[in-house]
Amino acid sequence: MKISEARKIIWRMALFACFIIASGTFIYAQIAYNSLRAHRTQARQVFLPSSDVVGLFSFGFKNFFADMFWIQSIQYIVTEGLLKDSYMAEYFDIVTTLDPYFEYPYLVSNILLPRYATIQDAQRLSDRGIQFIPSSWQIPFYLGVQYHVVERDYANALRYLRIAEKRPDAPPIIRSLIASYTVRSGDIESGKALYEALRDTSENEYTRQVADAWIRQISILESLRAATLLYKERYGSYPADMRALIRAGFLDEVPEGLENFTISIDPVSGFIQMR
Amino acid sequence: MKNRILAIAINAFKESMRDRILFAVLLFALFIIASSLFLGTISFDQEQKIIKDFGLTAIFLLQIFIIVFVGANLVYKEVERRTFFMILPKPINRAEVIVGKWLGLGTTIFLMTVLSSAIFFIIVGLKNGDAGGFGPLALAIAVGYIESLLLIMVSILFSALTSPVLASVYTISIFLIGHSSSLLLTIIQKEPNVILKTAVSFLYYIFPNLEKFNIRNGVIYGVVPATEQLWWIVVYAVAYGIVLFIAAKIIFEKREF
Repeated sequence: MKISEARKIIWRMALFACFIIASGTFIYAQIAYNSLRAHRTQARQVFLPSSDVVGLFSFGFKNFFADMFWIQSIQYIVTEGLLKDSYMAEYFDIVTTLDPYFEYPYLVSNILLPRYATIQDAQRLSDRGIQFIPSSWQIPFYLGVQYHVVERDYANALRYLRIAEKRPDAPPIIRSLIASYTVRSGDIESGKALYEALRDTSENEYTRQVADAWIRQISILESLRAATLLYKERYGSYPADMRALIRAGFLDEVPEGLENFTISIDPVSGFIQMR
Repeated sequence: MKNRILAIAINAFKESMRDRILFAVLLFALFIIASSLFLGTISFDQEQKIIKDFGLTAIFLLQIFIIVFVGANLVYKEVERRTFFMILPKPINRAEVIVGKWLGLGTTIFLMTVLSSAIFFIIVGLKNGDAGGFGPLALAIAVGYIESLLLIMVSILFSALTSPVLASVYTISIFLIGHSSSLLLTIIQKEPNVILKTAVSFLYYIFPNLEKFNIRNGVIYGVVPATEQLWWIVVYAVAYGIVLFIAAKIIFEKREF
């Protein structure tokens, strides 16, 4: 074998060895890098510009950017999970600032934000949705229901349900809910009147039955209120609870039909609340 | 005169059609339209909206990229290849060259718009199942095309004035300013200083207000501008186009080749 040929073979072998070592090194480097990433904290850094800035620099592509941020927000929720104090509200704010006519983000934010951010965030976005999509009954309806379910805030629940009720295509169930929330908020007379109107005007048999059942319960509440006033006349203060009314002889037992509700009597004002 | 303009237009059209950038841009637009199919599936039940938004954006981007990359080279290439020196001694008015170039590039963009729109409508039709909402979408594309006709004139103006790179930068700048006119309007409304307010108002009216050509955001929800509004858009485009044409003509005639 000539020396030049031997050199050539050695050179090729060295080259091959270099190739193998380099390949092994970059694969190892990737594994080491991945393990570094795995040890990092779970909280992912998210860069989110403010909705005003994104709107300002969208240059005629607002819908496109709104879609991009919408997809990004879904990916964010899917990868990060439903976490408290996450960036959900900021994402939905950007999407609806860029495209205020995009209804779906308002609905999703009404479902998620009251639980995973604050109901004020959901309200802020919903107010925008109500302004830009006046035909949507779902936006105020979802928020109203969330005010009831999450916050037990019947005044705001009523406020948004009344907006939803006025929208075209609003289902009749909203009227029933309005009546229910009116009773729960303590305005028993108005609630009864709403249920009576619902019973007399509804074409749906089930709705009429539900309204009738509520009117019966309201009558019980009215009896309770009368008993509470009598209690005050005798003892000079309102009863602490329903058991006090039973002990004083104003009630024989807890009225039938109210077993599933928590009845509370405010000892200062005598206000009867049903939850 | 007609024949001369037509000859220049045909030449500009052929020239731009030979440009490889054109097909790169077309491929890019088609890629965006195609990607909407995938992105639509991960958009939480908003597939139709995503496909329409992406499609309209892709078609508009196609028009803008052609103007920026091809339009900015229109005059410069002629100078660089010295073909201009063969045209100029002939009894051709320089204004005819501008109109010819504008018509040529306008035709190229029209062809590319029709091609990409056809693909877009096929995808929307296949996903939607009916052709009910095609009218407003077509209108948005048409109004976008009017904007691009105006921007071609901007591009030709800068192309006659400076190098292709700078012409591209200036055209993009005008495009961005034109789509930020709402910001200027906000400043005008909120600025207490009268001098600054007047200066910004002057800029607001001098720069093209291109956002009025953007009806893409509305048509997705079936919101179509009133006929009167559309007429004013056309009137604005024609009037502004004439002003740009006169400016380009003056610059072109003063320039020594």
